[in-house]
Amino acid sequence: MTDPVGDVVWTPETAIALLRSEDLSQRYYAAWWLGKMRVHSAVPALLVALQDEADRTELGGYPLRRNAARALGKLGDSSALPALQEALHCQDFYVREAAAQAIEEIAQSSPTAHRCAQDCIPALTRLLNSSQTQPYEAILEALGQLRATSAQAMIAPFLHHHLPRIRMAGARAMYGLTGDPQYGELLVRELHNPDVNLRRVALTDLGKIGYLPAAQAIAQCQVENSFKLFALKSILEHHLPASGIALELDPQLCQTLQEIMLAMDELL
Amino acid sequence: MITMERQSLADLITAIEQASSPNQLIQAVQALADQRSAEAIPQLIKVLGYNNPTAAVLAMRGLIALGSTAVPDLLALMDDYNYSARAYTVRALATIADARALDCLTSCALKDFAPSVRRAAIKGLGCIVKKSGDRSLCLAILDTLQLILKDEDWSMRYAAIASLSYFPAHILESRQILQAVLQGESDLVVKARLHLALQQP
Repeated sequence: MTDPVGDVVWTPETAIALLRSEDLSQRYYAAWWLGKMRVHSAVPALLVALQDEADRTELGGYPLRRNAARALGKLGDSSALPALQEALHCQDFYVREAAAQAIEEIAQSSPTAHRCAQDCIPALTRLLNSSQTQPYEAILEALGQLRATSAQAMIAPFLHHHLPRIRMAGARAMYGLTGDPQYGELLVRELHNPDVNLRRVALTDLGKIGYLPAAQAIAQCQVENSFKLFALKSILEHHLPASGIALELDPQLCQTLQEIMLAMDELL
Repeated sequence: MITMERQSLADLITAIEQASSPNQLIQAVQALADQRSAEAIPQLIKVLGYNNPTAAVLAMRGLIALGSTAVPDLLALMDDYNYSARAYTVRALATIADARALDCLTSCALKDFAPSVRRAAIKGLGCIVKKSGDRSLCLAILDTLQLILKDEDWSMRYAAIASLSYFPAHILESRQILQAVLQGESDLVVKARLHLALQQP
């Protein structure tokens, strides 16, 4: 795949070479491009970029490392996990955030990768208890995705965090660990939050955890139809059989899922 | 406003233009929509582009309640620059399902750049079929929907299937098309919607 930018024709090879370009902005763009284009052969070069010292912001941030971590997440290669775990200790908040998100993304790529990513649980859990400001949303979501039951006692206090987004990430993680509907209901309540951005977050989270009892509340929520359509689709994906034939399920679940589809018709 | 007298249409329109808060706007739009008056149509259409979703939905419902009377203005005053306004217009046209909107809905369904406009238009084509039942009209719409069933975006294929499910049973072609795409469909939810459509008597 090529993408002409200026005079350079972008190929996987040129993009990998550009990760060492004299021009730091080219390195930054190349890291993004390699993730977007899913260039799997770029993993070793991206791991080098994850240690970059050249590209610094005035405040000491590491822009190239952030993009390298994001790209490694998109590539879903579990060989990047040790380096990403290392990056959880970077001084740059956004590198830590990108690393936690990348670990979560890699865990989703295959059952084997999920097992490997569970090695990151202790490092992620320790961040919940650090003196630095941490990317709590990303960390909590990763721990939920990794089914980090050992971290439950550390996650629970975030259900009372003063920031609603972090409370919601806590609820989503707790639901991931326990499947207990009380955590799903915490998110359902936020569908009535006066802030439309928070309603969108709650709705997307409920979709991601596949919380079936929320379907009708999602269909009624005051946000744009497209958000509701995508959240209801995620819920269906959690419950449909691989054949897509709802009739194969027990009659009550089948009826519920078919009602969700008809609710989606109304949102078109 | 303390007066309980019935306000004139002109007053109601002024109230919308002069509303100084989102709540005032919403109340003024509701009052105008409640008139069920053809003269309110251009103002209700303007509200679709005001970037206030609650007011826009009220205006859209008011336009839908006016039915076919609203169709010529909805078509003529379509907002080419504001896709969110266009989505409300297309939803109104889809629900009214007047065959005069066929060309507009077909073109929106195939090539509008905004996904929400396309989905609403695709569904609207099925609504026209449901209302008219004219065979040649149905077959023309079927051609459009067949193209959309090849779209890369799952939500467009989903909308096309929902649209096909509105076809009357005697248009056998619609069922044949649904059966034909079943094999090649890769998206789980689209597949489930196909099975649901085929399950209908």
